[in-house]
Amino acid sequence: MTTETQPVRRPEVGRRTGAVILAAVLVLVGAGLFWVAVGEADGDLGLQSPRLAPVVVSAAWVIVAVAYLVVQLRTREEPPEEKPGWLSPAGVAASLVGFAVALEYAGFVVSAAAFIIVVSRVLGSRHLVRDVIVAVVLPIGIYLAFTRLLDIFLPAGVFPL
Amino acid sequence: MNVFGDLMSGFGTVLSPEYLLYAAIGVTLGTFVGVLPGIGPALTIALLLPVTFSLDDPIGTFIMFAGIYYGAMYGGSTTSILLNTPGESASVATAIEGYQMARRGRAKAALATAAIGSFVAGTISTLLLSLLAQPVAKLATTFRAADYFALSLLAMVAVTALVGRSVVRGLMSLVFGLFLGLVGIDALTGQARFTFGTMEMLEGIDIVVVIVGLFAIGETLYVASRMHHLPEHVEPLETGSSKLGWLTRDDWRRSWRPWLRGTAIGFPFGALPSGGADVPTFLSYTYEKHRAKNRDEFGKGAIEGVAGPEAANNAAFSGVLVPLLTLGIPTSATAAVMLAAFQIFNLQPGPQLFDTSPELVWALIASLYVGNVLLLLLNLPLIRVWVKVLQIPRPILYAGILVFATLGVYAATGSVNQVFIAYAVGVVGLGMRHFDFPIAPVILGLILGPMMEVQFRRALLVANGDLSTFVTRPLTAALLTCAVLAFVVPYLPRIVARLRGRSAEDEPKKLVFAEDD
Repeated sequence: MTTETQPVRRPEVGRRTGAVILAAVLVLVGAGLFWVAVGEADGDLGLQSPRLAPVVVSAAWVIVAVAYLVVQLRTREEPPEEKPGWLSPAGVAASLVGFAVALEYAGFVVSAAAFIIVVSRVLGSRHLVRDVIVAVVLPIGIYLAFTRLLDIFLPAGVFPL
Repeated sequence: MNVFGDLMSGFGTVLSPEYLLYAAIGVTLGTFVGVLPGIGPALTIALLLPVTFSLDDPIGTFIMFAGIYYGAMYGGSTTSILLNTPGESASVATAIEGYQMARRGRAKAALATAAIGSFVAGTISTLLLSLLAQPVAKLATTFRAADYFALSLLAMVAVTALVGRSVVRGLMSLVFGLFLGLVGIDALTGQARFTFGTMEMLEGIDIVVVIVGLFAIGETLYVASRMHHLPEHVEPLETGSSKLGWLTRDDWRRSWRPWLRGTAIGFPFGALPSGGADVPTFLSYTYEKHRAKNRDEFGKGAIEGVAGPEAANNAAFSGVLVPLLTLGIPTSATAAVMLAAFQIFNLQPGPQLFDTSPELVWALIASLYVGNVLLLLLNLPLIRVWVKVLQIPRPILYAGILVFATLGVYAATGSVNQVFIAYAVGVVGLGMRHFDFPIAPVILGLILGPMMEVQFRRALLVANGDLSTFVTRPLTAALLTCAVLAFVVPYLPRIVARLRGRSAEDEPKKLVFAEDD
């Protein structure tokens, strides 16, 4: 962290650098899609061919991505006005993956309860008792409402209801 | 006057106790979810879609959807005013003055002028919708494939060019949406495209998966990435003296004109393919600001700045229903979700809808009137309940949203793989938010892209492969010209500035309908 007397640019990765990397990745992905689309078309690019649209869209992707790259290269580097943390979103994403994997094995109620406790923690909650109460009541309520009232299937899993 | 008879029969349907219950449930659910910070109408409907899967009554479902939509909008204005976190770009204008009013202890007046303004605008614009729907549907029967192609193109381009701060980023979003729309089996020939050899991709990417991924999961991940910047402070509602009324006589005097002007701006902009409510709300705000005698009050909580945009926002929704119901063309992200809801019931909005299911259409329109009344009755007296909803601790709130999002995708598709696709889309959504890419063009590209391609090929089939079919018909050519013009409009201030001899550097890069001149 810089102190207040040092308003100079921080050497961190700024918005622009990130955007330039993103733009470069977008160009590459677009080029890959274009290559796939042209390969699938196999020369059949008549106006009414179903192979035309993928080629057109991926070509547009490449053009727009290049334009984005050019715009980014021409803008001035600005220090990030607020530094986002990447730990919390990564934690949330990991919890989501765990939730989805557990969903069909452990059932909705158990996996959702565990998920709520973990994610509230990741998102900065420090009231474990409150979180546990919510984590028990909310999934059971949702489960009963969806399966009994709305006839929508949710995996019951290990929870005997 | 056939319209009147049809509308009356619509009211006859809606006013049965069962459907009134649907309307009340929809309005309550919509307000509840809409009040949650960061959640706009599009996501509200997408999150609540699974609730309707087991209902086999399309009329009841759409009455509920109309309620959910209106409720989400009212709820969104509450959040904007009390918390300064607009759930969607259409309530950004409301938040500017509304939050300032709340900070100066005038929260009740701001909420009241928003609610009553929405009611006035909703009622007038629904009336316009009732009058316009059938004639437009009749006109639409003369539309040909080439016109539909041009119209979808215009709708996409307008959202991309007019909404958001950068056309290049908007186009990137649009292209991404078009790509997502291509994945799966081609509708006309059954050939697989961009499936990368997997079975999972053959069915294409479900719109619900994308919306939940981009809005719910993307938004939560984004919030997680900047946890320290969350506005936690809810402006309190003042108590005491205002027991008798929410608005003073002076407030009424200052509000009613902006309500009407907002309606007049909102409805046509909603009905034209111009990206839904974003443009008219900012236009209304700018207009009120320019007109106001007390211009210096703007930025410090001028009631006109809440009344106008809120009315425009609501009027635009009825406007958006005109092309959606009569042409089957969604012109905003929310309309695209509504279209997805129609398709779940195997209903295809368009000119035929008025012939094939008139009961549904008129019940839907009648339910808009009813929903408006219900909201006014529900909202102001219950405002304290909604403020409580705002005070749900953030970690719990976002955990709940994620559970609901996962549940929604799982219930809609019955597949954990689709849940993972939604998560992946959510990560993309986080990146888009971080780098300031607009979300709406993705949704419209996904919905309109396939539609556009089919119409393009159909038009060529009819014309024996002659491309000139897109320029020889005046209507088609005019629509295509509008699409080109939409790209120029955002740069007008810059061009004007150049002509006036000022440096274009001082001007905003692109018109975002909010700047001062």
